[in-house]
Amino acid sequence: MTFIENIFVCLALPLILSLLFTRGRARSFPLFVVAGMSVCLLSAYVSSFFMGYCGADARVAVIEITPVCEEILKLLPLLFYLLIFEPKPRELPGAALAIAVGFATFENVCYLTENGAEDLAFLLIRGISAGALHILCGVLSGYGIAYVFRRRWLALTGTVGILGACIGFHGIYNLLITAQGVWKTAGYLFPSVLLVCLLVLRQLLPRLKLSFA
Amino acid sequence: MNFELIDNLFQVAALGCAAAAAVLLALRHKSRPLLMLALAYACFAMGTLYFVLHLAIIGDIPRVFYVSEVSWLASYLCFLSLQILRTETLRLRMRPLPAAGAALTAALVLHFRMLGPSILMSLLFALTLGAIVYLSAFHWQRCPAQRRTDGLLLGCIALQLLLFIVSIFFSDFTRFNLYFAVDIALTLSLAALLPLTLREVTDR
Repeated sequence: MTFIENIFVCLALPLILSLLFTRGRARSFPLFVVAGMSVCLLSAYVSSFFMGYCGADARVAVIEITPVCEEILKLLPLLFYLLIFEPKPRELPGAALAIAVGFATFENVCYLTENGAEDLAFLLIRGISAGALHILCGVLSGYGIAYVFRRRWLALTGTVGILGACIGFHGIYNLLITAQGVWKTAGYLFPSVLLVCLLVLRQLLPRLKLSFA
Repeated sequence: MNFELIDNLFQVAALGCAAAAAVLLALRHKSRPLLMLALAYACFAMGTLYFVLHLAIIGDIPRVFYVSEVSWLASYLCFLSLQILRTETLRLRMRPLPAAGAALTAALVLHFRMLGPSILMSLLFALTLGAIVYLSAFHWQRCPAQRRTDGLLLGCIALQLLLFIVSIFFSDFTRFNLYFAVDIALTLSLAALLPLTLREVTDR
């Protein structure tokens, strides 16, 4: 049995304590990381509930239930921040990324506790791919929501659209890594490849004098 | 080879290419509608890719939860966002013909429990498709110069509805039948939205 609440307390407490000694914008990153960890903990409860409710086994839960629950819950702190504190659009991607980093970190720590830390090569591959997946979803939701929240109706349809895109992307990743052989390899590789493509595009756009206003 | 697999792979390839092209064109023309269209294509392709991977890896369609359905719904929400962007300069009013079209679309979705069996999913899909039909028909009436895009989007919605209705009458999806003909027509119609939207963007 994994006591994820205890792990959460151990990981979150130093970050929360650091808030007492930091000021201004330096505070926001650890705060969102803790929010991401809390969401990861909460999504474990929600996924378990739906797993029992639908009578699904662990494999079906990972493939079909977890992507929906995790992505919906990951969006909630970002929406809360946006609607309550009304930050500038350019501040949203950073918050979304910090939430994604917190989520991925807590998920990896729980995975380590459950499966051990002997195989460094596998952990490296898993760490990179899971991290890349959550960061890509964070990039999409952060930039996407900052982009659609400028108009009232577009904010509603656009936010749910972006959420659906994240769910589909996460679902494909989970489906591939639960398979065997070449599917699994493809699953571990494709988020990292997409992240590299995104980084190349980011470097390339200013040189080609292209931007998106 | 199972024809369902061929049809779905064709859809993923066609809409994936359309999404990539739409992103590049959106960056080139700094266009929000093209970016929204790219997201719509990407969501549709991801929903189908999840479905086809589930079929290939697990050997059955997803039956417990709604990952593919959420992606397809997201895709239509992006098409709705595109229509919101296209109609933002117009003053929206209640018009009988678009309202009747929207009501009929929503009623069909709810009657056939499309994207169901969950009533919540069907309801969301009914609202989304109804809103697209209303905005497209309204824009059709008010902007005669851009009727092609509205007409094609209305055609896509009609094909999507027809696809669900046709699927009721078939149980064997291993060979080519009317269901796949409608699905291929839907894929091509969705892809054809890109050149029409591009023309609108360049005309402005």
